[in-house]
Amino acid sequence: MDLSSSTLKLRGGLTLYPSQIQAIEKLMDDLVEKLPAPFAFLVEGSGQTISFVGKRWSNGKEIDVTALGALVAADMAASQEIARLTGEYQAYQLVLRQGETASTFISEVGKSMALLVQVSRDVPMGWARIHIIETAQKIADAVMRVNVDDESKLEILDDNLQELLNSSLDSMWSEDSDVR
Amino acid sequence: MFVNWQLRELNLKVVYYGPALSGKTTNLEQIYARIDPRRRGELVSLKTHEDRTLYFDFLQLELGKIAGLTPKVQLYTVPGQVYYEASRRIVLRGVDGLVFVADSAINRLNENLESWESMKMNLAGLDIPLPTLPVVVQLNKRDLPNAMTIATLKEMLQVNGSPLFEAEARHGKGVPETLKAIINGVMRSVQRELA
Repeated sequence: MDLSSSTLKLRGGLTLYPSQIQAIEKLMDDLVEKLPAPFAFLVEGSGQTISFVGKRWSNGKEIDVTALGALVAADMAASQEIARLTGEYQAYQLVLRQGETASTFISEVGKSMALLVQVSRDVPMGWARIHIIETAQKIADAVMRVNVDDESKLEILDDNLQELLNSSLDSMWSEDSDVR
Repeated sequence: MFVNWQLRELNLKVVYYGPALSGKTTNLEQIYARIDPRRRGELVSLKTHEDRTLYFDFLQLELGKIAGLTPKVQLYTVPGQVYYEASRRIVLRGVDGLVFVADSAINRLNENLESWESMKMNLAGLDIPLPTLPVVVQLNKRDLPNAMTIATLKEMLQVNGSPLFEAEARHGKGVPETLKAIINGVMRSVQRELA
């Protein structure tokens, strides 16, 4: 059953339940197929990956999705700030980069997500723009819907949290450094 | 913070804030160099031609499974130079915890104070009152001959109850302690919020 309530919002954050992730991935799959596009990538406003659909390789190299997420979110945030300072802000704004063989679109998705889609230069810009904005709006809508079956409580109950964290960090850390 | 309930993934954002040249990027470089490469991503740095931070540095750590969750911590720095205020405000969006890296040099007191005030102002602009956020203060460059006393720095910055660490970040000293403290602070805060 769908509730037209907003998602659980922690301070400045976003929680997505399985049904929402599945709905988002379906929308992104459809977009990648329809355009067509090699990949589509959705990130949360602070750069954390929500979903990546399509090929993870570009020009023979694996895409560093973590780094790309941080850069996409920063790019979108900078565009929003530019728009705010120049008085041209509008919802679902789109940033386009035209390359020699491919174009990259970055679209705002609601207030707290950004969608990156790369398309070949053979794909008409207007066609791509319409479908990317439409998908962005549908993703934003999907995030607003919570299935009550999903509303299990996410808890971190462990009393030894500090010990567990420190032990994990200690195991990752080396006193030897290759910093020059 | 972003929670992917399907993967039980908890994504947290920690920002290293502080005046220009206080050692924010050095902290991330040291973490990058000393953390097991299987547990961290690549260090992303957006720098000017003069090798100064233009927008941010970024590094993601994966802590493994803890208490049934997979926490990932994203570390960001802000550009320290005064005229990059708009960029600092952007980097602070969605912040879950802050490390303030202060420069201990006696001639950098004003820069520390200005940066601390700008941090408070930027957080207020994002509706995040400083007292609600886990903050760790790192007093960096303790090896300088003209380093201010810890008492002076504490008094001037009015650090109220935030954990405070001495550091020589370029030698890695104090870097892991600071990182541990902020991650613990953020996780405690998340635990409270989810309770």
